[in-house]
Amino acid sequence: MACHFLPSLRHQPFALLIWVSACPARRRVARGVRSGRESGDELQTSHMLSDPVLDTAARKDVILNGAAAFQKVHPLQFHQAFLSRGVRSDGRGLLRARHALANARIITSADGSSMVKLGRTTVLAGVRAQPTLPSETEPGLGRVVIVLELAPTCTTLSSAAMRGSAAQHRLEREQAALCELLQRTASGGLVALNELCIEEGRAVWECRCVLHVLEHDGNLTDACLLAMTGALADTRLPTVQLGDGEGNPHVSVASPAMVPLALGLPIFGVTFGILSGHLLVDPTADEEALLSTCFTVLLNANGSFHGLHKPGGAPLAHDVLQQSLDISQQQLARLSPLLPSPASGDGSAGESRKHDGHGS
Amino acid sequence: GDALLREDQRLPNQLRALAAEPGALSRANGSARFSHDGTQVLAAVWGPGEVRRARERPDRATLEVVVRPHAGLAGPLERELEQLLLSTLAHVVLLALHPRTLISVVIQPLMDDGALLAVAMHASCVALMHAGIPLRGMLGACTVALTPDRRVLLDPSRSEEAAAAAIATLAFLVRLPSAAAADGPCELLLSH
Repeated sequence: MACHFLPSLRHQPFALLIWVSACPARRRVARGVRSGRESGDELQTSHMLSDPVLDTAARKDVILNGAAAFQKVHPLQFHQAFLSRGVRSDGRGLLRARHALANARIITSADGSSMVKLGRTTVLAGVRAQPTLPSETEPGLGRVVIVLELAPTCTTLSSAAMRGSAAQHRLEREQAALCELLQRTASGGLVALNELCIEEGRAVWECRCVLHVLEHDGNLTDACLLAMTGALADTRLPTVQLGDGEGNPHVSVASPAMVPLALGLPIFGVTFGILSGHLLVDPTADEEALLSTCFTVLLNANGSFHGLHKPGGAPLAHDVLQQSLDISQQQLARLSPLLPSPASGDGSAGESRKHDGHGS
Repeated sequence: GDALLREDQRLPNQLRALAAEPGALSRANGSARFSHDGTQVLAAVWGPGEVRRARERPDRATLEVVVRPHAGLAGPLERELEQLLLSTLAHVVLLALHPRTLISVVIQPLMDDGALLAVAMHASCVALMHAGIPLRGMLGACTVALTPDRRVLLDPSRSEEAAAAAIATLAFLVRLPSAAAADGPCELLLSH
């Protein structure tokens, strides 16, 4: 890997620091000032390191912190240096998604729960169902309410950037856009709302699904969709009936058997981003800050197109759109085992499904 | 034949009557009232003007979009509308020409009879032009409704939106034709 990077990096001191920091640790520690001249491929580093002012330890600090400093000061060039060689800064291919993990039945006190980890992005979803009065316009339909909460510790932005009403508004806006997408997906066809009716016009189930984003490392859309679908699939409700005891209607449990929610076909999302003209699958938070546009392709579990969510940004060429539709079809095979199949028993505690992110 | 006509006697691919009135407000730098027959949106633009140090950007203007509902307080729907308009207009307006300034767009829906996002986009585009803020091109948006019996209807009314199986709003950036090209290419900006 070192030799592969060497020729084009000869004249770029910053990029050279990246190459050096990618070397194995024991070689860095063992190398003194002189041993740098021994092996042929370290001639480049010894040229830079032969400054007599810096001693070995300080030089090591410069090398190790140099790459991080370069990323902070010139983030776009940092990522472009990788993209021009067909990889990303975390070593993935351009069209490769991160390792996805989904756990069901995490919180035993909730009616249904799920936790999804997409690389370092962690979303925890919990569903709580309560019998309520139905709305006047739709007396026979239940309700699914989605609430999205970003924990204050979830991003690496400094607290100064998070304070103030403008920052609150911005966060609210970004949360609201994602929340509305999830709400539309849930009420649109994911949950059979007529099955949530206890007695028409008098009592229906209201499922409140709260999504907590514990760590935000990019691609919240996919993770939240998976977590929400997983939690709703994991929800089990008792069969109840409405009784009129002493003039006050109350809901009593008819049978203790827990019945899972009637779900339609789950919806999966595959998020793409365009960075300097390269199409990326599943961007991380660093990449998301630099993308010219970010869009999500929504697919049904049987592979049919459900929607395209592109909230503004740079224009999308037709061939890129076509390519992303093809890639999302391939990603579906990786994503669909992450949700529990309807025939899987009553869900033992902590059952998990791991799947490796071999996307391309 | 008659079976193809919609409730208001339109063909499936026929838009409603468009009307634009730039300069509807006298105190704003730019304003416009745009209507698709039953849906009317008022947009006002202030800027480029002073911006607080915290929001100032050294290389481009800061764009702010506020959507006020015609009744009550702004809720999550208005926030979503703000986010979609912000990310679309951020690509249409040439922000790099006015660094360290604030361009503020305020959207007020007056009547809502379907296709609100598309009308809001048109209104903000005309208001930005009236304010003299340089744009990359014209913004054209259209709402499409897919009925349960697989018909595609353009620019649906509120009742058609409620009865639709799926609704999509698409926005395109139409670059004005240059001297060399015969017609400007359209690029997909928003799909919602």
